Amino acid sequence: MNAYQTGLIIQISISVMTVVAVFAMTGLAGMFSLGQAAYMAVGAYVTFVLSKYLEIPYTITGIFAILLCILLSWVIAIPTLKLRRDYFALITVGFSQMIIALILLLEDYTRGSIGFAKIPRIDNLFWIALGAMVLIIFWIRNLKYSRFGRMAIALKNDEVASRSFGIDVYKLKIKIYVLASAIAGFAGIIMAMRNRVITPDSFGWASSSEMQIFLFFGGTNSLTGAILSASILKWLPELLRNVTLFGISMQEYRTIIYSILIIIVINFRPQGILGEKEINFRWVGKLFGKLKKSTVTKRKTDE
Amino acid sequence: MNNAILKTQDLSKAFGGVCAVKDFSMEIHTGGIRGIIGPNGAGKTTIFNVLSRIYVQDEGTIEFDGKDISTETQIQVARMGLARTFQNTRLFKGLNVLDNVKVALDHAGEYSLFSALFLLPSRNRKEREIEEKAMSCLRLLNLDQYAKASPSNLSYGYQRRVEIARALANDPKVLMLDEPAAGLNPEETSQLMDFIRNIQDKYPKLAILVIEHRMELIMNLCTHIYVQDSGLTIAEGTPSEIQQNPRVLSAYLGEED
Repeated sequence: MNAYQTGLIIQISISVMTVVAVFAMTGLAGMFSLGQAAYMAVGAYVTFVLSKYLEIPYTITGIFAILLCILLSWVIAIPTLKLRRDYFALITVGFSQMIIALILLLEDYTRGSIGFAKIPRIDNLFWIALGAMVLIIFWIRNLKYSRFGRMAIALKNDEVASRSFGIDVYKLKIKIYVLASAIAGFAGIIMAMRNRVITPDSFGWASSSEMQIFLFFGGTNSLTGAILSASILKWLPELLRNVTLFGISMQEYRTIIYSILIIIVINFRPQGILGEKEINFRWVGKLFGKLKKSTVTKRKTDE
Repeated sequence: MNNAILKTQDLSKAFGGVCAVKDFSMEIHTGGIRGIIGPNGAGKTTIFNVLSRIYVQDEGTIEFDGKDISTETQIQVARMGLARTFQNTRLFKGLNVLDNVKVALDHAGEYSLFSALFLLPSRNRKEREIEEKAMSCLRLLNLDQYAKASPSNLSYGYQRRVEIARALANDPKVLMLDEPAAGLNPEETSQLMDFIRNIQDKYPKLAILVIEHRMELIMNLCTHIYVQDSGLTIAEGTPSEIQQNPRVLSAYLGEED
């Protein structure tokens, strides 16, 4: 594999991590946040800016950055998750704008909009990214099929009815939001390691909404859908890199492409491409069983 | 028979000057089944919402299992064993019938988020317990063949039953049914009555409180009835007493000139 391919795969695995975290938050618990990229920014900037100025290894500052994401998301969740869902979405937008403003304000340390580039080269980033992606998928899959996942789906449907089954809606929402934000923070660190330069505008509102677009495209109720759409839609602009329209590479049109795709999906398949379907072993088994049966019957008819 | 499981004293609730419930007093005993009837807007659902702590009453006290619950929250009361259903079926979409029943057990699932994420043995053990308990609840009410079905694929009558089964999953002390026969045809209604009688047999210690504006269901099931009209209790007593009460007849059939 050449550097371009590994780079692309790392990029896709970052996309999968963030979208899977958004799946836990929006798909399971119905919290529509447009500020998850801000946690990526916190993860990336805190890790590498602190590492440079305090001259401590980035593994330590990285852990600190993720803890900071946990603290921040918890502090934000306490007042906002009591509000109605639309207000929560608004406040997350405000939060992400605040983080961007803070990065620009601390120009002396973050280099503002020029971008922070003092990021060391990391060996084996490919395997770290892939391993982390697999672990995060494993976690969120387990979350979905645990009591927490069931309660989250219940509260997404109907908070009053959920409470009448003794579910502490508020606490559960905080837990899931904090988990999703910590994962976003970690993905931000990996992204900084891959790009070797971080700029505030790569963590803006647009990248947060990109995660939501990917989730809705695959289907908010399907983890498989989230994974597939996060990887395919991230890959798509790269595929179209050499195709030009009006003398500009198709890659530059990706926001337009995403917008058109999401409008089509919402219109013709509002539950997303996969709806509620998940790939699981039983499903694969059934598929194989069907194939076997069809070959057996075929053999019989051949005889 | 002095140990009422659920008891209210002079319960009142008003919404911006409009009195929804006024001085409502009732009690229900273990194993008993009582009903509240009244025309639309009589404040029946408000009573349920106050009892399950969705609303806070303006005045009056509620005693549940020997404890004053007038200041408890909805979650606490639910955990203490006061289960209810809602007027429109509120089964959770995206979860199958079995998972819907499991949700009722999940707040007491006793395994941490950490063990859930890492699929630790403690999680698997507890999850198996939850599954067994939910399945045995469905089996008890002859709903186990629908365990893997999606609620939206069931008929309305069966959705109602699943909803009642879900409310029963955690072995509540009191079950409150909010218009269980709403939207059901007469045949489904009579099946539902059999279903509720079956519950009484299977859960002998359960107290059931039913709201309904359809006379036949309440008259056939309940041993004691409260009649509400415009927020006031206009009569209470056994079904035969209620059927002969002139105030009830006038509220239901209109005044005779």
